[in-house]
Amino acid sequence: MTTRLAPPPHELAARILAPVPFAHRMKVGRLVPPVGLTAGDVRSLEELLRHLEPDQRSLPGVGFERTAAWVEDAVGDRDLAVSVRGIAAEAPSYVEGCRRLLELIAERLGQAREVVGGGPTREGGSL
Amino acid sequence: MALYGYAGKILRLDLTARKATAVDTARYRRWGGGHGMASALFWDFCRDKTIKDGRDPANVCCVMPGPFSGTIVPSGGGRCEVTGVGVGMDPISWYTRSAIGGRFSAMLKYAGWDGVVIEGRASEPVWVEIQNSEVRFRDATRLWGLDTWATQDEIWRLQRRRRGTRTGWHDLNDRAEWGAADQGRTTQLSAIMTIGAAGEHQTAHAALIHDAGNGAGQGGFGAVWGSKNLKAISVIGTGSIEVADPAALLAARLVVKEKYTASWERPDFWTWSRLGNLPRPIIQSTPPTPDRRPQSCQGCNNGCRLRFSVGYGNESACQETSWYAPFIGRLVKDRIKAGEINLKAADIVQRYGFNSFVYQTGLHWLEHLVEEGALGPGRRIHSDLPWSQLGTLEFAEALTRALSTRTDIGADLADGWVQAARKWGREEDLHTGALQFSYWGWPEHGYDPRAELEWGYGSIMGDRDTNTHCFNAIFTSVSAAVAYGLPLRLEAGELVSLVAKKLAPYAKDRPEVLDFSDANMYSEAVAQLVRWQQHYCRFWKNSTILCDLKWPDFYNTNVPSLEGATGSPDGGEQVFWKAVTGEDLSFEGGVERGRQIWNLDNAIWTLQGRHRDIVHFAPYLYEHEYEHGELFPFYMWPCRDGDGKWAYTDLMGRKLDRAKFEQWKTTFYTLEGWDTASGWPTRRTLEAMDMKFVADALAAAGRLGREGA
Repeated sequence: MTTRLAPPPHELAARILAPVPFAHRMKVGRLVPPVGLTAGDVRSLEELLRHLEPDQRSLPGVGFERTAAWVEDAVGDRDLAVSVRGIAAEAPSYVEGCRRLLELIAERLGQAREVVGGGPTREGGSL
Repeated sequence: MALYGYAGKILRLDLTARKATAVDTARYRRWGGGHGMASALFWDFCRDKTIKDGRDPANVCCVMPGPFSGTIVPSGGGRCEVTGVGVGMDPISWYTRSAIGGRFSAMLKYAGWDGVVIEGRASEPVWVEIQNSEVRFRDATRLWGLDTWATQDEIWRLQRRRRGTRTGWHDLNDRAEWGAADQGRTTQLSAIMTIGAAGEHQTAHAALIHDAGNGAGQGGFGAVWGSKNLKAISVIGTGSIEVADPAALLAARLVVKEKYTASWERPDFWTWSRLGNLPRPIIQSTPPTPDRRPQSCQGCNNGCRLRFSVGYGNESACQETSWYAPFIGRLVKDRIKAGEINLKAADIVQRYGFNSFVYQTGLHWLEHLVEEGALGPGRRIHSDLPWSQLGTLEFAEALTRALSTRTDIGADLADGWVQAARKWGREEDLHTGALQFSYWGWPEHGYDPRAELEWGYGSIMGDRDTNTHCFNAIFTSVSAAVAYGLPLRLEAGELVSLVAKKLAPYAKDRPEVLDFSDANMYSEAVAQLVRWQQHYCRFWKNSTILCDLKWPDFYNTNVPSLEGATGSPDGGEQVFWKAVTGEDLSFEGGVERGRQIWNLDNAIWTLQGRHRDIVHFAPYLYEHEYEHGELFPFYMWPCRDGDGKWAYTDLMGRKLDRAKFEQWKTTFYTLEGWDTASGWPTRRTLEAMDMKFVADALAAAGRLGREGA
């Protein structure tokens, strides 16, 4: 995947790598037949990345517009939000949209890590 | 006269007197088996049907196989119904049900019993050993405190039977106490149903566990057994079940395999069918290892569980393998490690005999309270649990231990989660939806009542989260196809026509019953669909007993006609019924028997205190919309537009209307022939079903519905 976003400034990069407060979490779900739609939430882009990872047993549940709004408002990354909206508009299917979103988030996290110099993640390690 | 499909007698256990007697099955033949027979047995043997807590010693718990148990009926040989008054529901713990798979029901019948009726309360912990016709009450003092797996291991050790079959045949005459009658030999281990810590401490979330991963969760029957000082029932049998027409049974099973089930030679992993899917564990499984094999309940044609080479997560297949997943990702990045924790968390709840279903929405609520500052060390709701470690295996065990042993917050949650919310001053959470316990104190299942009406309405008109997957494959199949951008196997109009063909008698060829649009969601048509579901399930699913995840089979893309097996002349439910029992019962006749069982259940609920005024959902379902895109981008379902044209439509974005739902209840009660003012059964309705004895009992209790009300 080619880079579509300019690297974030240092302050934004730190926010991209950090969790948001619980009150600003984004609710997500998962379609797990036959259990149904199970609830969850993500509090960081890292968690969103893991939520989107392909799984033979289930489908991740995210709303692209909700995700864009969360990225913009809670994380504070307006450029990334624009790209998320672009995926919503262009992806031929929801699952393909999830795949593209996964790549986009992974790329953005990589950019942020480069900017902050491979600094610690929330867990004190690195991806 | 042979009673084909039945063993011929039901075991009645009086725990108070430690006495075992036999009841003639023929006396209860009209109720079919499973749930129907259990309700009739409860009616006859429960002396006080006003009890509102299953831990009352008057409660009668039935463990009931059905005629199909122990046979080769596809997805019908290994299920077992458990009934009785439940624990921890709100506002009343109803007479309720659960089901459990595995091999217990088959083994019980091979031992010569069509079911077990459990009454009274033992003065000290006991376990019951059944070996063919012999029954013994055993001292369970040494078993009390053991987890469910250790309990089974210890019983097998006491029985001096070694694991597996490689050691050869077990001679059941090895103990002199069994008497002179030849007990036979077997390669099998006893089938054991047991409780763990959650049951011993009589908590609302206590399950019955059998083998590694079969559980009867909803209803809190583990607490019922705990209250009776019953640790376990072990059964081994060397007999068999005589079926009326073995050739017809075999032929029908082969039809299901060859006509209705996807071919292994040309596998179709996107089949739209319930009965006809390929075993999914092979292709659809979580890590940690590719070395696994499918495992199934006895006689099933579709192994839906797994056994792993790594030795954990065995037999756990459903909710217990998903309850912890949303939290693991917070701390664990490695997918293999996350999979390991997820499956080991499943093992934890199995070993504690804990019904993890309450965690599905309940654990999110607890986390919400922690993050909000209401719960934790020194907080208003005090808890010493290491909440910062939520997501680790250690926390999963610590939390489950606390909730299983009434320690920490488990002391308050043990008698019900909604009750705990009130005790903690958090009733507002039932309004905001922070606590999504939708009906009767049970959690929302994953099929939101604001979208999937038959699930929600069926739950609230019944006794628990219905957990009845008759129709919701429509949602999953269509939503998955839309999500992947795949062609729809069936257009909406075609699908509803195929389903409606099978909905005899109430909704046959009335596809509008499946229209869950805003314009139709409180209609007579939807009421007929819910009636059909309740009546069908009470007999064909819960009494015969067929697996909820495989039956009914309405449409089936493996078949050129696209018609599923349900009600069909070659592989329908009634075909198996006739082959097993010899009775020429029509498909509709079975639904009618289900109506009778449903009415008997409603009579019990009425005696317990049900009235239409308390039949309502949790407040959040009326006060908040099912938000678009929150859990998934869409909830696809066939609906008609303003021109009457069918299309798959997203049902998110709406809430329930309290006044309109009240009107819908009136419609439902009218169709059932019940008193619309109270929801109680009426004499005319009951007597028309040859249930005068029920009408008389309700009249004597002053709770018979008024005619024409």
